[in-house]
Amino acid sequence: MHISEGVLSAPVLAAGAALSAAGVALGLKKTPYEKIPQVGLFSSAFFVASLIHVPLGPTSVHLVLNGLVGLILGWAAFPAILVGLLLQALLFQFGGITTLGVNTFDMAFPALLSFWIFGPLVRSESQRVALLGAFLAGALAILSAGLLVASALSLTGEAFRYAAKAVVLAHLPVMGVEGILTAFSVAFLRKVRPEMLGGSR
Amino acid sequence: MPAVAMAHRVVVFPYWEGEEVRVEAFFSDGTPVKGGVVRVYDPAGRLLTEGRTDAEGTFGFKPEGKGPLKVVLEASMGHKAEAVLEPEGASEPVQKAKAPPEEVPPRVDLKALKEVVKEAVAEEVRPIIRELARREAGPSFRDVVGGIGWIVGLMGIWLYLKSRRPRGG
Repeated sequence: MHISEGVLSAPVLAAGAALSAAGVALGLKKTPYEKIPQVGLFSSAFFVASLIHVPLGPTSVHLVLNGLVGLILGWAAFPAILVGLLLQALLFQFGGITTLGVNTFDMAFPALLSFWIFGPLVRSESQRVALLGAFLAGALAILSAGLLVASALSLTGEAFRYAAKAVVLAHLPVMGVEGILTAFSVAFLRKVRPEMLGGSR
Repeated sequence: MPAVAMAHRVVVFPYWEGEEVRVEAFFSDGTPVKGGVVRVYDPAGRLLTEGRTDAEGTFGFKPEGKGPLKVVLEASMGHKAEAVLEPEGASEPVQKAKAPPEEVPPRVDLKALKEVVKEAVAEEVRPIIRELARREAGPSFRDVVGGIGWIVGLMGIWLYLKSRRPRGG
């Protein structure tokens, strides 16, 4: 999911940076004081998740956790993911500095989507609805991140259908794993810290 | 190194094998990059050759000259890496080394000897270099701990900045 340096054209990089900057600014503004430690916690989780390799499928892939980060953090997913990606780029050489904007948007926007669409389900009275919502949030956040990566690549030459097929096929196992992980996390949080699922609008 | 396998960065590692060049491509967790596109350029930026890595993530070709060559790897999904291959003793036939006859006081051809030693050392060292390249690719435990420390620190700064303003404002 990390697009490397020198793959995308300048306009795509600039657009990604602008969109991410707006998202980060909104995220910083909308996060209440009490929620900041959670942002740090989930930023760390996101940072480390990229090291957990999923040994299935045609190519090397890893966990992303953007669905879970989005469900808990809402708009604050933008700064959390930006910091995680920045440190991954600096310390692990994953992705790159120039692609930071595009990569942040590719992963944080699906996080926000999963917050908008599945947030209400996760807070539902029924445990079954909540778990299903959490599974879908985890799985679909990966799918939409993959489609965004494919669109970014297709804007710089690679044919969309080919790129999308490659990215989505490679991430099918991750979708399953993340769906299950997100469902477990939500089940746990509903029991011990239900207020964490409130999110910041 | 933590026990979990790691991804997500590609590494391209070209090296001389006699007169041929072998290119190895792998992800940072060590899995080979299958079917990655390899492009080789000369210093002027002209494309010399192009191909795809096989199931073991390797690609071989025989360059015209000795380089330096720039090797660029593009794996799918936006992964890219490049490396420069310096001209190494591209296996000049080392006939001179056998020259000195027994009787004559040992006048060793230093230049030829140097070549022989260089080649032998290069051969011995090659697996070590490959292992190093593989290790370089993955992050260390220190990187992980350091990164988490950074996140906690940034969070502290953010908390501090927000705490100076009236709450909820």
